[in-house]
Amino acid sequence: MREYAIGNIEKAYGKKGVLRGVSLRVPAGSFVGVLGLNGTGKTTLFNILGNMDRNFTGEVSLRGKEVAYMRTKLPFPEWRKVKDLLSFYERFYTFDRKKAERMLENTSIRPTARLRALSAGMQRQLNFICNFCVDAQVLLLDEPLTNLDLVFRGFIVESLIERAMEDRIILVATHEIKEFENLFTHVTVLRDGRLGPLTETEALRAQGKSVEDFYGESLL
Amino acid sequence: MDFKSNETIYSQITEYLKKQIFSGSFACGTRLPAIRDLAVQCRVNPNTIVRVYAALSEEKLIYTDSTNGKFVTADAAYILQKKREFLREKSAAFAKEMREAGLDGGEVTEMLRKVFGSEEERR
Repeated sequence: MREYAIGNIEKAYGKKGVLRGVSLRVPAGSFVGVLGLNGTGKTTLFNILGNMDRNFTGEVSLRGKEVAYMRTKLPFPEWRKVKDLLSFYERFYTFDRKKAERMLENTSIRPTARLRALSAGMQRQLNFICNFCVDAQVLLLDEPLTNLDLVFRGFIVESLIERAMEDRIILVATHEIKEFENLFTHVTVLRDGRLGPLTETEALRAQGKSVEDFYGESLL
Repeated sequence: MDFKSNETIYSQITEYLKKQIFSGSFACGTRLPAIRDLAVQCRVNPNTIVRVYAALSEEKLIYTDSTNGKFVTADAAYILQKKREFLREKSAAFAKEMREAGLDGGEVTEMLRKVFGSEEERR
């Protein structure tokens, strides 16, 4: 596959510049941790990369069907049914519906249930399953483990390990470094509207630094 | 597995597998876990396991059978030789540390005897 290139993205809310020239080049097969304090614009950036926000300047090499995006909340009306979501994904993306249905069978989510009948955790499960079953080059995950029990957290981690065997790209915005640090091939820190250098995690460790040390230093 | 977060995961898993091979837990000719399975078990990126297996192949401790996966070498004598090298390196590093702390060979031997003795009593 191609490299994933993001060039000079800028975005402001009113006069307040949130993203002030975000650039990144991600090699195929990378599993990247996008770190940053609350309010630094991680979600704003992911919304742009994940087709949810067209109001920005800059360039992104893969868009539309090539990008699946697990947001913190499901972007669908609460009265919709689970199976409506599957149909939506099927129409918009190259989507493995059979696989999604199989994965749902291992949860307590019924295809006929309405979204409002699902707990916060179940909505997160559905959200993950839908986006995981999209055949896209890029998978974006915004705090994917929030609200989830131990079992489903484990399931997500295992699913992502499976995905990391392929040539595709995974980007995770998270504060849960401990759960992900051994999965990341690279990390980068968003701060003051810009992304720091894409840094290999094993190269950090070879210098005697943990991902947390690196993150801490990047915030100084 | 518990990993130290400030040492390469690659070297920690490599060492873990070497110990498994040297101790006989992974005996001569045993089939090694698939990359995916070991990655899930260790909860690490599968690319790391690919690198680990490449390093062990380079050292000829394991080999790849193109259809059936990775296996520990069937050459027991070679494993024994590699085990001695490994232990010699570990001992040399330990001896250096003890010397730096001011202990001589006799004292270290005495200390080790006590440590091993009390561990065996506990069993």
